[in-house]
Amino acid sequence: MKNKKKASPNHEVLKFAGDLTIDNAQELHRVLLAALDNATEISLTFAEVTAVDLSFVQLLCAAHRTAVRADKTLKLADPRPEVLKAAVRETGFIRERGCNLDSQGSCLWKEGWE
Amino acid sequence: MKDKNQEAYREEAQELLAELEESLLALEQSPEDDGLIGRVFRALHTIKGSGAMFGFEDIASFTHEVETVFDLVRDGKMAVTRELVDLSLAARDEIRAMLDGSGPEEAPTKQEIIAALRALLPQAAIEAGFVLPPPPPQDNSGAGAAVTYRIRFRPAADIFLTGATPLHLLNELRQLGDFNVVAQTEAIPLLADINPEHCHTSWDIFLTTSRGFDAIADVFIFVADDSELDIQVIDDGSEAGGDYKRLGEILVERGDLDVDSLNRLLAQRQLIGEALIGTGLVGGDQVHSALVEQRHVRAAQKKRLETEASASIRVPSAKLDQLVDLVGELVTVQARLSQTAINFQDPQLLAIAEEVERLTGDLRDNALNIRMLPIGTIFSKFQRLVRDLAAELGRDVDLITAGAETELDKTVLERLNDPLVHLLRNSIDHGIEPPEARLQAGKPKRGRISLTASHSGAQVLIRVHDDGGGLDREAIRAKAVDLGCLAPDVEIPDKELFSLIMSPGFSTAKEITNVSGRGVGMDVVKKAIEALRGTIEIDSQKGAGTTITIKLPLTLAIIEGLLVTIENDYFVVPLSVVTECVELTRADVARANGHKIARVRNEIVPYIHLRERFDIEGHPPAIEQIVITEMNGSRVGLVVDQVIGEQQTVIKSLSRVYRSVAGISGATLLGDGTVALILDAPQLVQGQAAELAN
Repeated sequence: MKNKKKASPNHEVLKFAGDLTIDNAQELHRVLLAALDNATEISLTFAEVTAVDLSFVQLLCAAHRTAVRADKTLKLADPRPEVLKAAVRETGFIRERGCNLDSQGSCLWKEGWE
Repeated sequence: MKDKNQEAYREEAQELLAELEESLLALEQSPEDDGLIGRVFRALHTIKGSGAMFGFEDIASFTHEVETVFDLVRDGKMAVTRELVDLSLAARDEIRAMLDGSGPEEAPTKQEIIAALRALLPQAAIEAGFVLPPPPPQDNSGAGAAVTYRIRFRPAADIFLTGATPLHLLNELRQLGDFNVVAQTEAIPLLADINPEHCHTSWDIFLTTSRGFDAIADVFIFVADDSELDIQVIDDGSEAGGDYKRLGEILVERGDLDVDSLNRLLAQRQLIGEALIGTGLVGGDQVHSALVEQRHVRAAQKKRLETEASASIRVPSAKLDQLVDLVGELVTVQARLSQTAINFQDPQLLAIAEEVERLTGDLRDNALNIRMLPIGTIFSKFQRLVRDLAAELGRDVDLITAGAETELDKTVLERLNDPLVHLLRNSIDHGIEPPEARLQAGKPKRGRISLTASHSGAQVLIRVHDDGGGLDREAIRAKAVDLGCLAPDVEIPDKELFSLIMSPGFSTAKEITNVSGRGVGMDVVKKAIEALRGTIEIDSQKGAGTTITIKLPLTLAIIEGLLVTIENDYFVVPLSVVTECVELTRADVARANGHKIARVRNEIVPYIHLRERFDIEGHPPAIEQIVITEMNGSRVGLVVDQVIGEQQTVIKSLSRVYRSVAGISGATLLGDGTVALILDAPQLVQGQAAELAN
């Protein structure tokens, strides 16, 4: 489903594939949590993602909040799979500006979802 | 009664067919455009539905076959191909023929089209016995007014465990109408605290639908018990558009903000959205949601306004023509009334005359406005023409149109059709090169013809531009010398040389095709444009293409004119060509040494002495007036005895006997019943230039 590699001591790249849905929510949660514990810069990449649902979009939002709180960076790499884009659009997450918690101005939902 | 309905259906169907054709051609360019597929389907559906209702069963059943195919396309079960578009266009022509009842029933063609369409159906659909339900009498479902709802939905935290997915619910709502959704994310906890299997998101949903409250409630039927659900009508579809609530009002209405805080913020005179987020009174999500609501409702209201605007009544155009004629008479009588009132010097009568003048002016503008049609109505026909013609001549051509909304008087528009068709044909046949030649010349394989319309003061500019080979300067020159229009050793500017191709009998084409090349084209075009009191100009660069610019007056019926006199005769100069009036004294004439030129602010302006031009006897006054006109960038003066003033001029055409008099384009009646001739300034100037040349 995913593997991780260290690009540098503080930079971790997570690679997601397969079903990013409620069925795997526990494990996805665990992986994100671990990455945020270990690294200060986390990049999420995607390959052959087959399904995305609300649970994963929520997790991304939570992870980003956690990163901002801890002064770390969390970024979504391009290209983003169409299923992910559709899920973000259809769940109404897209924003023109971040929420009140987004002190860095790095809200995930601003660009790249069209 | 039935006949009347059938007549109404015929008219409606003609419009639908035009719409169908336009959508099909656009679809050919962008075969994946769902909006276009929808338009095609709707047009077919309405033609079929109303056809069945008004007793056109043959049309209904034939259209049904085509609709069946597009229903599959709409569901993504079939792709739009060139073949499908071809067949659908053929079907459209067939429906049109049935509608006109023209010619014998050519059943074979219909059958052929149906067979070919069926052959296109994917195998799976045929096996599934795919057929649409038979034509319904008329689709009245969902005819209620579209209402906009705000739905706030907070599912139970464990909604995932019940098997219902929020995404699915949202997508079900999306099916009901115009839909916008904003997730409220504030409740999403940090990663350490989150239960990844719970739902932490709630939604603000904005939905405009005519399906009613129950349809929305049905979507939530299985989750309603455990969820917080609030459905409110925020726009009931009755208000006639305009401004929706302010951002602050929306937030207060939702209970996200209290009135006192709002008033305090408003006092700071900042953009309310910025201010709210700055103070942290309201979350960014909530402001975003309010903004989306505002936009959603405004869009819904605008859409409604547009539909309402398209609600119209049909009037035969002859009635409109009659109306404009009557208004023309009225304008003349009104001028007489004003004149009489002034002569009587009676204050009461003057007051009435002024009132009548004002009302007549409004009435005139209104009546003329009714006859204005967007030029797009004829543009859309050209897409088909260009497509068919290009195919016939083996060219690859795109027609790009712009300014379709530019309005022109109906009569002008009707008479513009043929000249434009001619110009487009010329562009395809002579302008755009065959694909191979284009590639060799380093141009894109597909040629481009652009047809644009725009307003420029009281005139409309229409441009036909092609990126083809351009005019062959030398060939035109040689031909002109050959025909004796040009002396072999005379050099003239390109613009004048090119305008020679609009002389009768002028064609440089080496072979005659059935499209153009017989030398009857351009002079007919020129005559037609001039009959509309317009001008035509050709500009061309070898290898780069040709641009033809047509300038037309907005309307033919009434013009603003400048009334002038020579001796006891009245003349009207169209105000659109007049730039200024200056005096011409005897001393000025003497200073010019016999040349007919005047010095206006250190610029030399040649003039035409109309008294001499029209052989009017008598003696000119000591101080004459020059009415300076500007046409095609050059200034020429017209010398008259006196300038009286501006005048609403209702144009009456001259009888056949006088029609060939050069320099006069029509006549009008003045307030006291006197006839004034309307001067054709371009023709006067041209005539003078020709005389000088000889």
